[in-house]
Amino acid sequence: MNMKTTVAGVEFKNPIIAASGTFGFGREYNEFYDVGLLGGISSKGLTLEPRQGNAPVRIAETPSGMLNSVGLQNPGVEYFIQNELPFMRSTGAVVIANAAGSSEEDYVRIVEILSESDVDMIELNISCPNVKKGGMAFGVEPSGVEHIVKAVRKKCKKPLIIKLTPNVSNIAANALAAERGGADAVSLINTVAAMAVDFKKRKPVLKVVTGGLSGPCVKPIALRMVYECHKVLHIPIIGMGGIMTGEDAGEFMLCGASAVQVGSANIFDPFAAINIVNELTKLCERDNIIDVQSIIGGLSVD
Amino acid sequence: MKPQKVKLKIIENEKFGDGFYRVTCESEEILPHIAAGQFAHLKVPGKDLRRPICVYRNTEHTITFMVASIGAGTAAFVAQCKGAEFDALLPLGNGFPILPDKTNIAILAGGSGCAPLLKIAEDNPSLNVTALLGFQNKAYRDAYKDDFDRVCKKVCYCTDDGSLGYHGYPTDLLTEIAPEVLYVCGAPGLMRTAKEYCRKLGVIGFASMEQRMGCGVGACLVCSVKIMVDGTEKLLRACADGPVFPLQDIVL
Repeated sequence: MNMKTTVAGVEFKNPIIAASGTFGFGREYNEFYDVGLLGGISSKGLTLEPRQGNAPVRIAETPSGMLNSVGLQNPGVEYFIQNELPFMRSTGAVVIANAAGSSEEDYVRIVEILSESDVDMIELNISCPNVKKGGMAFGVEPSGVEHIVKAVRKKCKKPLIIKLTPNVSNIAANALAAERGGADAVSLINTVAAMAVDFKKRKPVLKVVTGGLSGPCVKPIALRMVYECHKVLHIPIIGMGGIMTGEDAGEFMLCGASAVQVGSANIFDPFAAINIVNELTKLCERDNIIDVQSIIGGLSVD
Repeated sequence: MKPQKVKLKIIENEKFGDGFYRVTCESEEILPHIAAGQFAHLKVPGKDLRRPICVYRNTEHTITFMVASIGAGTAAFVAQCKGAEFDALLPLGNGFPILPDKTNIAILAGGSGCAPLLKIAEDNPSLNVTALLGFQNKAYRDAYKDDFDRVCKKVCYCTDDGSLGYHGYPTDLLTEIAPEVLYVCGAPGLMRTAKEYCRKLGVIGFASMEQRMGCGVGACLVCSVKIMVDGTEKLLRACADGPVFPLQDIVL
């Protein structure tokens, strides 16, 4: 049985990737299990300069999900390359650097820097809902997506994944814009812009009022969006949104995802991502799926 | 000590006052060493996010948590009956440093904040510990039974309503003690008073912080607390950089 999958020419030993922002740089979870057993790891969102992130409270529990408003706290791309990348490299998982910025120049510069590093792929975050200029300006309109992807593509020497926001009117149009701009793959969905209210205190739960919703509650939205993008795209899709089990991962692949990312589930349980690898493997065994890639886009729609 | 995921089974769940619980669990496997001030991240029925609760006491096969029912998660946790099983990640975070040459110790805490401090005295019998402990009322105090009396040299119980011991706040009694090290956990007001006390008298202080938490292991960066690092205010992780910090570094 073959659990390998390929995205933009990069081979993953299995389709499960730890999602950016929920896995740090892999060190913490490596205390619980060998994170090299995962297909890949997408780093915490990186910016040119270190960022402190938003004031706390940064998390709220919601029905079947959670809100976060971390705000791209990270040690900066140079620190990452010096101090975190060697560890990520050593794990044996595919290393994806998630990069964000607040201007076109930022995006181009960080991609230039990462292109000279040892990362396998770059995932461009043009969809962070938690910082005022977290790239959402580029990520919402198809014209903005195409513009930023074109600008970055010129300097990008690595396979380029564009991470899409669901907070748009037509996700397929944005995915197509990324493809036209020169993306090698898209990943979706980032978190859904949302908020939680503490009635007793008459206040929002999050200090910065709104945040990004993730977890099982967004899975149906994410499946629909992956399905819609797969119908029109020629480049591969990395699907994500509320994946908690191997079967969830399989559902995303049926809708057209070549690989998937596991995010919130890591926060709920440190073993989540590796459990999902094992569950998906067992599922393939059970259903005599000889090659996991054979289920990609295999949804049977009458 | 690497954190582990352990299966726990509730063997006793006692309620005190209107919403304070002493929950004792057993573990079939031998529990790892847990330092005073470290916490466990508890799976709660019907909830995705875990709840971080300090370890009050433990043996090789039993562990006790003191849980205030303050929200949907803690309410769901304490609603579990004897025999209920759940999993916990432990031990997490950095506990209270025990300084080798300092034996004259005081602990200052309020309500559920008393819980992380017991192990300081219980695990270090050579320390000479004075405890100043504040509670809403006698019912909350009773949750701690005679645990502090057994392991501390002197214990002063204080209640907001005067139903037991000193009628007032435990911080009122700070002037009557002269410790080398003060360990603190409680409401912001208590922490502020303790910080000022330690600053003025040159007492070494450590405090345990609380924040809404995600992963509990240092990866998700949601449980930020404000801490001074080399003269600059930084947002550090309560779970992995704390929950215990030097009192003078905590921005209150």
